[in-house]
Amino acid sequence: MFYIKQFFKITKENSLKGFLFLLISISFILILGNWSFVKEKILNLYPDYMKGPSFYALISSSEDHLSIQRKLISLPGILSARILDKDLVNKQAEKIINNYQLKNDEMGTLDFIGLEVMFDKNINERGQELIRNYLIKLAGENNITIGKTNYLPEADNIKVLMDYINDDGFWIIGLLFGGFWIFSLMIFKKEVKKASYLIEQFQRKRQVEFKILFSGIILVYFLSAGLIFLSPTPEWVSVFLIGIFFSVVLIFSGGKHSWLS
Amino acid sequence: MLQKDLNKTHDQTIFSLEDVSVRYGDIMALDCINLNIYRGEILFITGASGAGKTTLLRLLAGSITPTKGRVLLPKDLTKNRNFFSSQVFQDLRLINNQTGEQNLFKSFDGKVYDSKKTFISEMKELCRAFGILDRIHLKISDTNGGLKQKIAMVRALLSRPDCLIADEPTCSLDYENNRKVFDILSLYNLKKGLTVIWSSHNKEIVRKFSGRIIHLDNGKLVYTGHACFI
Repeated sequence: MFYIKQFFKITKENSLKGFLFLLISISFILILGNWSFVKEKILNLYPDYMKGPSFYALISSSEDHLSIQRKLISLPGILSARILDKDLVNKQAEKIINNYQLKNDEMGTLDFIGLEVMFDKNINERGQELIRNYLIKLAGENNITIGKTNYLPEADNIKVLMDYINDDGFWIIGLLFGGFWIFSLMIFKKEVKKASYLIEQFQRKRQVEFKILFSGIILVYFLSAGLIFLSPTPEWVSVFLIGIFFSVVLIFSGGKHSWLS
Repeated sequence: MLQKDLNKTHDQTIFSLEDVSVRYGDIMALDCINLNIYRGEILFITGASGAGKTTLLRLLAGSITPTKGRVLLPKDLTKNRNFFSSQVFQDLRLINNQTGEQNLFKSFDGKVYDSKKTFISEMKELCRAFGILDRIHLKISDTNGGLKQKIAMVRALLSRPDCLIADEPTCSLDYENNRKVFDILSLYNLKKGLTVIWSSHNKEIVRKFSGRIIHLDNGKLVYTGHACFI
């Protein structure tokens, strides 16, 4: 209790350094301990990121397009299957026919349902082809017209960043936070060192610096872990790894006490 | 403590230096020092600036190790693992942005005091004895050198040490105040068996006090005897 009290006393007396250290420690645990949730939130900031190639299909309105849509969405590799506005589709179809100077009679009835199918970004060409064939099979070869697959333009900077976050985000954020945490620890540690030095000089206590930091960090760690317990997707392995990281840094960052004026 | 108990403790060596030398690069700070310090004695270390007084005190405090020779500290020589030495540093080591009282609270050890109340009572008593009770609420940065030295001295005594190691603890004080500090330490020495190791460059003041004196010159121990025979 003495050491925890000292930890918060030093934090209060050096509010900026103390607050920075606490903030980074808590954020470190909360962000990496909820990484899936946090990653999803970050990726949702740029909705286009998850979009893959897409194609349009015109299906005869006599077919059960809702059933087709449902079956498509349930397939792996499909991000979305959106039914387009019927009037808009028919207007577009009519315009194309007029451009080719064809008569409506020659084309049969103009009554289509438009479908925009979007693949997941990671689906390969073979998967795309299988899905397209499956759609033809569902609607019947004579009842469907499928457009070519449209690929998205080359990745921009945000997409590259999102790619990093999606694939290696845990380690990138972990390394960044690890670095910031060590930096804030070193700044805060100077104040702890000073207080510990005086306590060791005038009280019958030893290893005060380590005990103050360790007890304070343990408390912050368990309180943050308690918050993670309430989150939808707790990742306990990450929380455990952070605990190991904190302990190792603390143990190896010890040094001889000296008076820092 | 009874007189016979005090006599008994006086026989006990608590610090022993055997052929000790300390070298900082080319400079020989201490050269072949042999010295025993006994429990319950008052020892003055004198010498000019740079004679090696602070180095000797740092050796005794266990802050440095000798380049040559052997230093035996109380933890090696006494069976008492709780033997506690407290220091008054030459640079005082007070926290400037805190008040005198806050600095004194650094000595509040729950293992030593029954309660905070006892500590406060002892703190007030000591501050009254040193004549600083009305000024301990001041920030250290706003106080003069003499007050700072007294606060540093009270802080050291509040830790209830077995041994007090003081490096030029009264250099900013006049003779009267020096006398007052010495009287208080003598009282602690007599009543509680406190061992006092006091370094000073001012031989004139030291010779008026009672206790053993050792004189250092260029890192060498050149005199040891009673202070009044200096």
